[in-house]
Amino acid sequence: MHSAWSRVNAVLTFFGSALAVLCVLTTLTDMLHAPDPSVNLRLTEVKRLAPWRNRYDQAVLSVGLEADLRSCFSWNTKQLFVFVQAEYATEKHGVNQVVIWDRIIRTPEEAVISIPALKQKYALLDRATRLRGREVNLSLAWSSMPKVGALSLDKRSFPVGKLPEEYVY
Amino acid sequence: MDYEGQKQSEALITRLLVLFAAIGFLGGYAVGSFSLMVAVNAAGLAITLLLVVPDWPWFNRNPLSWLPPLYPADGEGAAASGGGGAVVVSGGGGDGAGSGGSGSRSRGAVVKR
Repeated sequence: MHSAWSRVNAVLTFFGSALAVLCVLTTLTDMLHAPDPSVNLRLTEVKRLAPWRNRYDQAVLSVGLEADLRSCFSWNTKQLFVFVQAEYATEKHGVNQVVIWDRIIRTPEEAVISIPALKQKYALLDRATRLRGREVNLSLAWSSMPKVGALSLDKRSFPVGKLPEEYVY
Repeated sequence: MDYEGQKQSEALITRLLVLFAAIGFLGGYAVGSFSLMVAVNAAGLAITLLLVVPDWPWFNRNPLSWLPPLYPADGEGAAASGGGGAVVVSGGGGDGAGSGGSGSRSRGAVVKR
């Protein structure tokens, strides 16, 4: 049988195969893409370091952020999910990562970020009262969401020293 | 659509789609625009469907030539009578069509002109 509908079927199925090959090729081009972002994060002030409901330690930080993530955009990038996280280690838990701010970046124009005093979106709470005198890293991490292919995560970390030994109100 | 046209249309499907996919990929990558690649492929799909799906005249340039009817005078009636007609033909074998073979076989055979 060689009807018009069988030809439509042949065209559409072969088109699907061609698209699959294009998807693979497109993800392969991402391997050639070498982003060169510039990031600077600094801790300008510890505004508050106090017990939260007498159970947890909470820190309110003032963070300065300058980042140029335009080079992270390739032709296959849909958007970037950018977030700032505070990282510290305690005796009980070796890795603590607390996201304190995030933003979705859809265009390369938005990828130039300059925030002198970043307003914390999410609370920096310890699961115990172990934030005082703690060595803290601030990191800017970004998850690159491609149009086709796998997500990838990249990160730049900045050691910003110790939090105060005593509570700051 | 004749047999030659079917062959041509199937070759056209793969060639056109691969061509548009290649152009779209290279062009999109060169310009840095994913949507350009999608647009070129969508256009390629539309053009391919338009060129390949309808029964265009250029797919009918090699029509099959059937043998002439054994009993032209009988017309449609004899052919429609089926098996009975075939038995009669095998006995007659005339009109220069059934050379050697039985009538029913020569009626089914196809000769390209």
